[in-house]
Amino acid sequence: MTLRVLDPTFDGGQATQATVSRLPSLAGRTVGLLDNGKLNVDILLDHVETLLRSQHGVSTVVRLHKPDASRPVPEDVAKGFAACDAVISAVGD
Amino acid sequence: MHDALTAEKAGVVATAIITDRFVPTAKAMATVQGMSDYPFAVIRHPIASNTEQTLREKAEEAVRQCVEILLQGEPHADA
Amino acid sequence: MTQLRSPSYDLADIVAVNDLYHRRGWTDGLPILPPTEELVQACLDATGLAPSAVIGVESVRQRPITAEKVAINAVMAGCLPAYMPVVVAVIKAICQPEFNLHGSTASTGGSAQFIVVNGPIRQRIGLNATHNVLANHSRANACIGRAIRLILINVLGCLPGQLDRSTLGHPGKFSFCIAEDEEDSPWTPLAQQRGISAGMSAVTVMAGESPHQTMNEWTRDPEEIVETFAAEIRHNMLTYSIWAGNYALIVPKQLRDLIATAGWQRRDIQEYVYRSARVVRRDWATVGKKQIVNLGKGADQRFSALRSPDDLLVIAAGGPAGGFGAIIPPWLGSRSQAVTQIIETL
Repeated sequence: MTLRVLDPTFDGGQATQATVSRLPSLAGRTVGLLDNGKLNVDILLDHVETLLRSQHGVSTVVRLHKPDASRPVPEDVAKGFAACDAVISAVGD
Repeated sequence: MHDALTAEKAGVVATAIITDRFVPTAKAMATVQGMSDYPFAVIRHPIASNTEQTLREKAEEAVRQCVEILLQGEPHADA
Repeated sequence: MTQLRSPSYDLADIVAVNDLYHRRGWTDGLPILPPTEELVQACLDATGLAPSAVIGVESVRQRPITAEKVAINAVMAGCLPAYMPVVVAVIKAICQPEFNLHGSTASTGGSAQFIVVNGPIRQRIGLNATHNVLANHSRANACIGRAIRLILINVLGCLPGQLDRSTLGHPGKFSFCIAEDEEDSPWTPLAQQRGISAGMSAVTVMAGESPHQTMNEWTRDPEEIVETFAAEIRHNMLTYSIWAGNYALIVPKQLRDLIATAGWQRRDIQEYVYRSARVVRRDWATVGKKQIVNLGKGADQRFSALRSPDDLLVIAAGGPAGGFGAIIPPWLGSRSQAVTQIIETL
């Protein structure tokens, strides 16, 4: 006699979402840098900011700060994304 | 990782800088969000205990990869 | 039975079922009971819920946890239908925003869901509150805690190395469920103290690190007894994490009797620990962390283990003999907060 057993895993997968269209260039653009508040991430992003400005012509850098690395970015910080042409989030998951 | 996906869902092109030890986790998060091939930049772990010089080198590597992703959307070779 | 929607597999026997489920990463490494339609339906019936009913949603991954998946994983863990109201209540509790389920399960800090059950359901399903309370004894304790772990693995993807990034984890991640010894306690039950009416059953769940065992059999002074717990909390603040949040204290009968005889209530314990479990930033130098002494507000910065006396969960549990107690530290201060949830029975 065979056993008919059920699958224990999540099976209501979301439809795959497309990513937003890429940019032709960063020159003159506004880039948001999101810091998760962990040690040294601010310093890493200071260097990233310098390089984006000096090597890639980024005109404005918006520094966004996450109050809690273990949670998703809160709505008031996420609102800042809208003012950016691109966002870089660092570091970790 | 989740925050970059939040930005994408809000219509802003985005990427994340991940340390190499978190690559499987970043991929798993992208997968549960329905974006399994989402590209991100990978630098060496850790960040917290680095010298200033090492952080600068990691920033250079991160910027190189981020720019490639934001402009072309190509996944990083190691990802 | 036709309502169940999960994909099914026809397998030769229990060994084949275990081979497939282990291979696919659907277990915690221990053998499982095959989740047949009959067993799953019986567990589902005990919840009174439709298979598609959403018990909770993990908001970061946007994953709903349905009654059907809870029942399947509970069967695999070895749960009897009578345990289901407790499992459902725990899922509801950990899906509350203040529990921070994503953060506390994904973190390298590696916590487990520490579950304390209060109320009449304890005796009905045979939950253990006494000998060996933090370890093996009763089927109900073992299987309820295990069911939560299997749900996290299979529904939320908490696989080690993927969305579970624990560096070490701890043995409580197999199962971490106790009952409070209400019948032999001088204090009001934990759930009542946290706002649940007398006579109701409830779970209290916190993201807990591994228990640290303490021992003091050398005094009858309640302050000295409680100070041993406070000292262990201070030690944890220095060696593990400084941040204030919910600490659990497991107080065994031998110590409860002495504390109660001296006239101390649960509140006195909470207030004593609130005052005593404090460290100064410079103390970090004594545990190999002198590099961070001068960060923040400097070496004189003071830290308390509790934001208020209410942060301390004082739990009456453990065997009748021995001056052994335990503290259970929070995963990361108040980034995850304990949640108390009523258990609804049919």
